[in-house]
Amino acid sequence: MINIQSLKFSYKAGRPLFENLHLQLLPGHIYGLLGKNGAGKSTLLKQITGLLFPDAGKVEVFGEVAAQRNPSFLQDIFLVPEELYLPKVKINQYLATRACFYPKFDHQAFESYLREFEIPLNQYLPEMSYGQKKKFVISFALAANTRVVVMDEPTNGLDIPSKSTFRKLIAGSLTEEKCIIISTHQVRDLDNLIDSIVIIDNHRIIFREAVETVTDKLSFKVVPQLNPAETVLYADSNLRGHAIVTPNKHQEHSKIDMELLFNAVLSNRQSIQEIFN
Amino acid sequence: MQNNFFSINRMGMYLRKEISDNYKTYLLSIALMLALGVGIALFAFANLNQWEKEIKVSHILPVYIIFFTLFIGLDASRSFNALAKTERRMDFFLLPASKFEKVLGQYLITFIFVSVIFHCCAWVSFQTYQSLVVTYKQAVMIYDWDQVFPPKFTYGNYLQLMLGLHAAFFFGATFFYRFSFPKIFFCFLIFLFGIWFINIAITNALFGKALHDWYTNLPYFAIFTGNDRMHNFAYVVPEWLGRANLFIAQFLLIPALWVLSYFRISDKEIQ
Repeated sequence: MINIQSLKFSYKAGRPLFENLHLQLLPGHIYGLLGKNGAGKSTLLKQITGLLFPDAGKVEVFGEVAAQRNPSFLQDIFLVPEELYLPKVKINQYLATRACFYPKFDHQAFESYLREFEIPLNQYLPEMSYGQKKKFVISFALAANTRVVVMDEPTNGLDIPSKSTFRKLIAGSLTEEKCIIISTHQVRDLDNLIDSIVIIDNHRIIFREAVETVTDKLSFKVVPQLNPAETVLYADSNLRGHAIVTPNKHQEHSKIDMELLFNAVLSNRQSIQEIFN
Repeated sequence: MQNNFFSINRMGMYLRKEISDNYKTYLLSIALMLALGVGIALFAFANLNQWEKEIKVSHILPVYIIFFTLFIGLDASRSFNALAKTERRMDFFLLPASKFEKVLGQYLITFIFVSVIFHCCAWVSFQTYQSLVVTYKQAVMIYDWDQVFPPKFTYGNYLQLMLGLHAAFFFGATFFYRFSFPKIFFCFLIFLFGIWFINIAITNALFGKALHDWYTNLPYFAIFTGNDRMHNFAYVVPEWLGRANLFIAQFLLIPALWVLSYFRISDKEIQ
């Protein structure tokens, strides 16, 4: 569905952000795009949505060149940006003038999403708080039924109940032909939601695995004390003891801790790569 | 197979969306135009000499020309002010309409829509003024249009000039998004003076002291030589070249600016 081949891109000459980047994302998955500040997550999302053009290589989404920004491409992709723009109109007016651009827009679903987020249908958009605006745009993005939904820090500004509603709606809206990409720093918000993890560091994709594969090969647990005999890929001490990532040698079942995984991948990249290769 | 260049249905949806998003600004602009027009009509009526019984339209037309020129320039320079902020830029580029429809939509709003509204307001203002002077001053209107628009420079030529002005400011609007009117105006002046200065350099190199004065030339049209009244001479371009220049200015320059504007918007990225 999303095919990035040999992508080369730089904001300034001589300082490449991406060099020979390859990435394939498939339909039917929710991808979590993780990375440190300045790693290139937002730039990658902009490349996918056609807001930035590659210096070399190609970015294709369902066979269309993203940079051409053709209507047939734009009506099947939706970006929920971190900073939102909403015109000074009411929700129903926004709906009347924007939904028509998306052929598969589901009005009933949109209303139900708004209900879930507790946003009244006759609300005036500029009077909404940042969190409400975010919930409104997320609802619109999901109701648009585009094949690709890209979200940049979607949980920023959402209150705690809304975060769980967000997870519920995203999980419920995924279909076989849909691909959802979520970029965030708040990895705990994506717990039990994403099924594939993509980690960017130093402008390269350094990790791309399904959650299932990760839990097959790695074990996440909290131990009261570190055992020197055990291979620990990453350890994080907290009040409950030590949260650790170890190779899953005994096929133990554990729940993925994405923050631990992210830190493990960044701090112990070679060992992790050896386990997954 | 979907047409990714132009669809009348999508164009209509885009215009509807633009008008719906900005209707308050548009209503405010219309109210401002109308208030300004009627205000000028009332001011002119209040300052009318009581002995003046014949009001010539040619005395009113300069006000119309000045304000129409101003509004065309002002609105054309705001064509792409949606690109000033990153969030609005994203919204603009990610809306599922083609690049051509987006550029054409802005063109229709800032030229066709503004022209129609301006003329409606101008007509209301003129009718107000006419009613007042006819009713209260027992004056008559003299429709001497030809004083302002003689056969050699018709109203059609004036509209063509406005089309050119709009094209220049429309193109400028693809460079500047904030305070665009003064910026474009300044650049436009620099561009015109630039052409003149290049011409000065060439004519001085070719004619030297034979020129009437170092600056006496009209780019693409004439060079004036001779230092005294007896020997003044103007080298004017031959008629065929003059006509060719005029044709380029009338029919090629304006579409060229439209095409350049289209490609500048198409090539925009969001950093």
